[in-house]
Amino acid sequence: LGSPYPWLRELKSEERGLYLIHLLLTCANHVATGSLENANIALEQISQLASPDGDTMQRMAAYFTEALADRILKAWPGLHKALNSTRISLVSEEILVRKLFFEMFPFLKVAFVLTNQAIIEAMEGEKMVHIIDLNAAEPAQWIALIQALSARPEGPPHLRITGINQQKEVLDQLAHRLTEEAEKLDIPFQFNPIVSKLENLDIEKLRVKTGEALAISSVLQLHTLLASDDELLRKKSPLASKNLNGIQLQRALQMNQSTLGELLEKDMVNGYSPSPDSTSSSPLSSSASAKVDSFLNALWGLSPKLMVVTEQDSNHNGSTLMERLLESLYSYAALFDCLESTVSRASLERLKVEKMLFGEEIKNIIACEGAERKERHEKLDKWIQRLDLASFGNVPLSYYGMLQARRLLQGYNCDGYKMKEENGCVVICWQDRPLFSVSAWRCRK
Amino acid sequence: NSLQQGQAQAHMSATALLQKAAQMGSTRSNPAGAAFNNSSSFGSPSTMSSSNNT
Repeated sequence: LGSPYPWLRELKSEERGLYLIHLLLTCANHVATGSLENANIALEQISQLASPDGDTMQRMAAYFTEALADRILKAWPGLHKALNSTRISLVSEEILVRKLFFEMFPFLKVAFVLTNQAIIEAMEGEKMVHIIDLNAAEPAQWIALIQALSARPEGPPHLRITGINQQKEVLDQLAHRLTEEAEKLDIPFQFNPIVSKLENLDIEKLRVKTGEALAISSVLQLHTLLASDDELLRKKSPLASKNLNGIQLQRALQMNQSTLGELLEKDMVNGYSPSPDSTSSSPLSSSASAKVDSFLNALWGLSPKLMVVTEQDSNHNGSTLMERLLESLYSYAALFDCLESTVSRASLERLKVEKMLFGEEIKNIIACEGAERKERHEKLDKWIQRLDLASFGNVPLSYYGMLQARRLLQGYNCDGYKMKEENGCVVICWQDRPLFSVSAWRCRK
Repeated sequence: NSLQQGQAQAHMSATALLQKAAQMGSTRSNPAGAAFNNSSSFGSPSTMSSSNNT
């Protein structure tokens, strides 16, 4: 066997899970404070216990440990680049994984139902309808909308959908499916593909015309624009800011509402003294980003009649590693638990979603800083503040939309999925854990 | 789906484990929490389950 810790392999599932949590927190603390030798010891122990095809905690730990190791490795850019030099990102695999996420969970379907219903209500009586999809990939949502619009009592509108995606082939496929459906139902339809990253989007290319009623749909996109450039300068190397991280750990723990923070506090921070005023982090200023603000302003400038925003309802954009680790442990535990209770452990599709979607997100949240860190999920209240500042006014989701969404969730026959209404917005949960939020907006003059 | 139920019964959910870890950490007097407390007590992880009645 050759393992320096042979007893580790004999732990029962529950003991092992608890021990993995302890090791992950220990390891993250060593990474944050730059004690690489200790981090290495913890990583070695985790590797004895974690496994991508084991129970839920073993699976999660496999991706968190990979993310922590990646963060360490980034201090040696040469090493990091060399180890990733043959990495291939296959477009076809990425498309497959997005599709699997859509199929295996109800979250996007609920978001689509709520978005479509809000659009249908806002576009009542409109003869020229233009929809902009900030991440166009999945045809199901727009096929359903085309069908609903074609059955309108006042007759179908002229419909134009502008789809933005980095991959041309995704847009080609989407255009084909939607055009086919529109022809079948005989509704006037035009698809306008824009091959672009959202951050480089040229607003002119959206070709918004006067006289048309505009709706914008953003599904899991806006958070990618939260990266700010000054942060990139401050944290060129993740380990360069080790002292800052160590000091901020105390603050991170105080901010976390859960008692896991207390565990950590006793467990691992004995060497540090709290310094409550080391940095300022007011609710929005810590994550203020010119990029997202100017993007929202540009969208506002198009005078949309409606904008529907779906976002991950988590706080994964904390300034310190420990904050993000604690929050993401909870959120991804919920997501991995969803799969555990609905899909067999042997499922290759489950493994793919866990590795290629959640594993990559975890790696981005834990290992990346600055402009590289795209998975900056934030809670609904932050989005409400930000959209409000950009002069958007909240439009409560309708009773009928929520009824449809609830029915869809019940159809899953899995009582873990829950839906909460919060001031006209919807939060979709696994058990008590909020995971995704859906909110609708209009231009406030 | 008996397979999935068996799967679920065989272990605690990750969420429940995180909650349990947090509880153990916040109870100083709990011997299980103590075993959780520092990495030098590697030899006695089995004490962790002794006070488990969830």
